[in-house]
Amino acid sequence: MTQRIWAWLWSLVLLACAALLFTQLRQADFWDTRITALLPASDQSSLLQQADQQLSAAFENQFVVLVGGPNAVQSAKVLQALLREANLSSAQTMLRPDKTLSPYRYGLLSDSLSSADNRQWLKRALTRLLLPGGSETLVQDPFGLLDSWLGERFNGALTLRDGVPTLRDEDQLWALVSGQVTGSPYQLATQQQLTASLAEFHAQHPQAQLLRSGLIFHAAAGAAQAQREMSSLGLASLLGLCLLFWWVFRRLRTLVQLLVPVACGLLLALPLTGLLFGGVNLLTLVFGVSIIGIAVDYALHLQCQRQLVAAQPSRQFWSALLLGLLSTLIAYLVQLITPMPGLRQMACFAALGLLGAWLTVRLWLARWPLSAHPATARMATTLAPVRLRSGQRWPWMLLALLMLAALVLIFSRLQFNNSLQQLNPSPAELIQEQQQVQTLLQQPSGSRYLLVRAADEQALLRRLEGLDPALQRLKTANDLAVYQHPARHLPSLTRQQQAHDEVRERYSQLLPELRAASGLPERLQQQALTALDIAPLLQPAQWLESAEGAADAALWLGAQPDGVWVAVVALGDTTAAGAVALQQLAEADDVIYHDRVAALSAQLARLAHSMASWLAVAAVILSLLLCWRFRTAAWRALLPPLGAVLLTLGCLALTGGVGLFHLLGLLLVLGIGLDAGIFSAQEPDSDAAWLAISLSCASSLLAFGLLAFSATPALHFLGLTCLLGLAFTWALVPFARATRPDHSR
Amino acid sequence: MHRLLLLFSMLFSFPVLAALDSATLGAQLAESSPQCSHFAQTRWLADLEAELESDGYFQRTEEGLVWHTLTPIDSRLVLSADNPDMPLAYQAILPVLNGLLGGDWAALQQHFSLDLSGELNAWQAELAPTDKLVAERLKQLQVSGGEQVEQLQIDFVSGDRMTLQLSPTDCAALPGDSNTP
Repeated sequence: MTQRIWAWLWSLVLLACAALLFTQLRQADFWDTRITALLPASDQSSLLQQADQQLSAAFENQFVVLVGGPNAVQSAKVLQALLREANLSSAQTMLRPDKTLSPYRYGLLSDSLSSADNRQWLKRALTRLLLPGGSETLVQDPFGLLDSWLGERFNGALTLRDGVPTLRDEDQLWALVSGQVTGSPYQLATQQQLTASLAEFHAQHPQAQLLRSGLIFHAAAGAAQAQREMSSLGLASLLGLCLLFWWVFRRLRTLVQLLVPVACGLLLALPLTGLLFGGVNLLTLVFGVSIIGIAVDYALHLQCQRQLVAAQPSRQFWSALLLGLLSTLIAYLVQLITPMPGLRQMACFAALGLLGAWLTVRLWLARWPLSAHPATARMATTLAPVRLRSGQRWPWMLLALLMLAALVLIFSRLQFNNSLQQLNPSPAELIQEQQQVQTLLQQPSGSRYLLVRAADEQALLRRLEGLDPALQRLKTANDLAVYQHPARHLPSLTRQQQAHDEVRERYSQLLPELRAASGLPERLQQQALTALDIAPLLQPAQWLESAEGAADAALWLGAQPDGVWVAVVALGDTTAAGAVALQQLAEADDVIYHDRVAALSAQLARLAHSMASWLAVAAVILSLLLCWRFRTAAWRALLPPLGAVLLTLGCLALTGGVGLFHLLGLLLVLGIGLDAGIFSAQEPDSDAAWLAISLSCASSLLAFGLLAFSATPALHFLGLTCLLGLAFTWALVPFARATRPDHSR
Repeated sequence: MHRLLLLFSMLFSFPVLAALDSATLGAQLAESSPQCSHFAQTRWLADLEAELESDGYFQRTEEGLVWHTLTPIDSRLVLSADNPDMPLAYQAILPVLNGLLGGDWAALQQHFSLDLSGELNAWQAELAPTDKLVAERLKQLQVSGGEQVEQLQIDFVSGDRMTLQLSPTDCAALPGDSNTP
């Protein structure tokens, strides 16, 4: 009677979940496509966090497309118009630093002019003077100070052709199209708009070559891949499972009964995970669809038990099934302790899904009418002899040898590999395009920087200027691809005053000569000097608050609560020697060197190490639990999960090393192996259990093993580990079911 | 009789009217624009209320227009967007100059509205900028010529003014490094 009440209650819970899911699916932001959600929440100092956030905000929403090929300039105009229609155009093309900086030009003396001699200055002035239709700013700036500054400090490589910024790289002409995302670059709707605009452009200009740079392209590629895999891998997995089960059970009703727990598991997991995490990551769904493999386990065991042993399973069977659930939940819930929100979400999703499937099996399935096909019993009989007889020695020796080899490999070759590049899901082509754009445009990526501190605003600018020569040397030596800091565009007042003095000196020496050479009136000298005398200095706030200074404002953290002023020097790629030199620069008290990629990789490494420890702890806890439960037969329960983990690690030692996602895969192998081991220990002679275990391994292989074919590196590692681990698990069960000596004699 | 006269005048004037559309003029200029030309430049500098005169020659080459001034000083400059010595503001003027001196009339029409008068062998054109970037600097252009552009006057927004007198010349007869640009 109570059973019936529980079954009804369970129906109500699922109904509520269905209603919740229905309302959630109507929200636009329910699906999250951020792959970075997999990355750990930061544990670094608040100043570094602030710098990271400010840099991300400045870099994340911008994107750039370089258009090459025939008629690049015209093509770029078309693309810019398409982006404007899609509301993805950037205001950046309208930036006019020449206008903003015009009054302050005498304080902005370029290095090249500063180091040029008087003869070169004079030649420059005369050239500009004689240019047909050139230099209307003769009195204001006869030597072209501002032009030289702009060329040196602001995208000197860019030239306007037909109003379109272009740059030349050897023989190739690239036209620049810049865009800006309003809202998040992770929003599917925005990504689709951009993809549609680019597709339309491609249709109109099939010959144009595009170089894309910007987070939105990577986010879109990742989302498209996750969606593709969710449909292809998920569908393949589901189809494979249906075929497998049809082959064994041959009854439509049985098939439905096997899939109902899976559906109920998903129905519980999806809305509740969405509720707990405020949305569901698409990767969670890819991973979650694979949970089908384990969720179906419980239904399989029940079905085989009912069909081949007894229509109403014994208490012992139910306790073994519960132990299976609990041990698997332990393996999954360990993931909940990781600081990676994405993984926590996956773990939560998996745990809820399994719980839902288990409850459905326990409360509903056992009460449903049974329908059996004789083929199932035949299959069980065929499979039954696959177990070791007590007299067979060589398989044990072979197993011992393999285990030994695995141990040797693990201790001699197994390495942790936590490089972030290895996890980058972006297509290599896109990464290469991005690097090319950054090199061509001389834009630092913002993933590496120096954090510089000083007592006040002007001291900070002076400190940045002090660092500049060392950075310039690194750049000249090609040890540093590019760098940027606010003082490159905004000199300290001291530096500006020095420039004023130097310009005044040059004026007094050169203006008479210029007059003599060109025949211009004496008024030139007076007027030019007057313009210089009344010119103001550029104040930091004026520049940082202007639209043109926005890029520098992103590098300017300003006054901190403790009164210290902070700014960022954004760095491009470095060589090994460059990295060492930068670290030496950071030995000063007021400079910190930060490499976000290295920091994240280190964080992942720490995580992987703690995960490995947790795997060991879980193994010990489970061993104790199973020893207490099964006493002398405990080895039967432990051999499949632990043996499979050992052999898999041995194989992985031969590949590129073990990372976080391999370890997560091992946790799954442990969980599935435990189910197999527990039933092998509980009923070593049961043909029904052996058939259920085989089907469980085969179905999990279909579900997880398929992830090995995922192009998302994280899922590929997970899948590969499961593929190996589950195959080993299945192969070890005949050992765990070995006949007892007293039986065979 | 009156009618006959009208018919005659229509018959004779028709080719002339047709000739003065910009496409025909463009084709003529593209075909007969000289490879090399002498120039005499007069610049009115509004700030200084002074006039600056210079002369020399230009030559159309693959790398761009080579502008060689002979007086008041000797100076050679390649007018190309890739030349780092060019003033940044000049990037807006460059296509105009290239269009006018290179006979690329079609390129000009992207930046200007055109008002033609006269005949094919003696024409005048007034050009008003339609392009925002160009209009920031140039107020208007007056061009006149016959088979080639002969005179060009640019009025700048700043009040400056430039006049160029052009006469075709034989490239081989030019002094200096003009043959090996």
